[in-house]
Amino acid sequence: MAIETITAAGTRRRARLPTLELLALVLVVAMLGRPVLASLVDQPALQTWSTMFVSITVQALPFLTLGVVVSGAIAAFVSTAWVAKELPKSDLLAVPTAGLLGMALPGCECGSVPIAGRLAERGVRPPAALAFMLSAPATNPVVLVATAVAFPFQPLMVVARLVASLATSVAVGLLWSRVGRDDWMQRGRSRAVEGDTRWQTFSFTARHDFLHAGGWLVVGAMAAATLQALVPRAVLDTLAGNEIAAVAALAVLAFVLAICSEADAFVAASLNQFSLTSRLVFLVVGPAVDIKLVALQVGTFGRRFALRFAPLTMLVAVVCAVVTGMVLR
Amino acid sequence: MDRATQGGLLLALGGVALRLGLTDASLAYVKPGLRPLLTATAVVLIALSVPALSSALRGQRRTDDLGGHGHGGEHGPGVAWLLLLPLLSLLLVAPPPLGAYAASRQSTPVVDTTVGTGPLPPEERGAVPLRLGQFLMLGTYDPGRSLEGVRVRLTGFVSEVQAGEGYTLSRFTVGCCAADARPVSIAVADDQAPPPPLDQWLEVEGVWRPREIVELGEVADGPPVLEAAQRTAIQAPAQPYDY
Repeated sequence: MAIETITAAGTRRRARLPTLELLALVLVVAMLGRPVLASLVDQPALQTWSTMFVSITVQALPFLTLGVVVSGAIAAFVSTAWVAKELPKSDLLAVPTAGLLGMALPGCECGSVPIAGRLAERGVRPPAALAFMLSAPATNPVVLVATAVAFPFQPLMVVARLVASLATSVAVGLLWSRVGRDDWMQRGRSRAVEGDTRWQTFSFTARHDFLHAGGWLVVGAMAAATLQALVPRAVLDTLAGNEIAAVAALAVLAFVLAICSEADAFVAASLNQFSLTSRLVFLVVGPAVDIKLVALQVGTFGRRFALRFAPLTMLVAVVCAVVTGMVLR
Repeated sequence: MDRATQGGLLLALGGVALRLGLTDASLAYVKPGLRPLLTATAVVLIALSVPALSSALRGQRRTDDLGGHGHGGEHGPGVAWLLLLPLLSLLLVAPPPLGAYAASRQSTPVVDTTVGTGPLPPEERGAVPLRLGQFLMLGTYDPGRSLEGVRVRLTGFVSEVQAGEGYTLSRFTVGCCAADARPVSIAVADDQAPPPPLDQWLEVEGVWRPREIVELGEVADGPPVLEAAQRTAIQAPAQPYDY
């Protein structure tokens, strides 16, 4: 969304590097160094690594783009005030409603953190705002289509992902309404940057979300390619062979890699040594809690909130995914 | 990353996506069906780059830097610089389709569940063309032993060489993109010297070496064997994977 989580305008401003010129310089140097680069990648292991890395990135690119176009459109055309007004007032009703609403309002997970912040500022009770924050990036149509494309022979994966992610968002929301304290959340830290026109808001949001999510997609693709091409087979097989180790490993991986939810299904599909349940854990944990989200939540709601919310979410997400995986197997 | 650079990066990515969408270059990484989506992606990325670049061209970078207008103080996320990595890999190295190294890191699935045991396709140029998955399936599980005595033609790359005896012929089957590809491999008995080099694509004609057929779901003690009568080295096909 068209929001920057910079606490006070200008505190992050540094002496500007001429970055466009830097980009051009990198491109020229790389072109000149092409023979050297090509011979470096001549090694079969590196070749395999680069093929897998590029494959995941290219496969995810259209879905990422669709996702940012939709989130840009929502930033430009849907008002949070309307959502705040329409949500029921009691937590018991508002939390599931907000969870379901997430299915209809797609957005990148990084986008949904500031939306939740804005919802809370507009009077939505925190548990409902948080349920929306967890559900929107994990259950929206773009993500479900991407998951179906990534798992062409396991259509149940889409259902499992939807069910487990919805369950996670509602369960965390309801738990938070029991144990959460409002003073853990700082308000008014997010700052909306909106354009003069809807088109400006749209193009700013879409561009910003694309570059942010794209960068993290590259991190995820590099890690998946490394697992597949460079980590010794024996290590992977041991990890994947023990279900508990596999679930733990992929939960940690999802936290560390911070891949955007529109792209993470392709990384999960590439981890084909691992069981479907452990890969479901990867898909449910990733959009709910990861390094990048914790950083954003610290920026939006404050440290006291994030330190309590992240472990709670991780625990609930793993439990929901494992239970769903066992039921649907 | 300032706004002009964001625009430049989006434009470059859009250009690469356009090439992938319009040429066969993408087939080393994804299924052919993704190509129209890649073209559409390219159009969107280029369209998104235009406002950023045009404001820079109009000399607004300065006003932006001073935070005086609209999205003042806009810093693109630093993590976006990583997008240069796939961009440069595609521009400079163009990673090749997966080959012998990748095949050696994965075990062959015992059953290729995507291929049924239909009737054999008609003969072409003196032999029945079969996908490796079909040969694996029929040669391991077909109770009708329909391969017996039939001259077949298989296409794949050499993933392992057993000097003096033959080699393993493989081709990857892709579910979604090359990152989840699984190799389908069969054994070729071929003592013609010299043996082909690793990663060489071959068309091999020959006859199935009869063996005991196992029940579907049971594990066979090895891949089926093709007794080679003739092998031809070929260029890697434009579509390197089976889908």
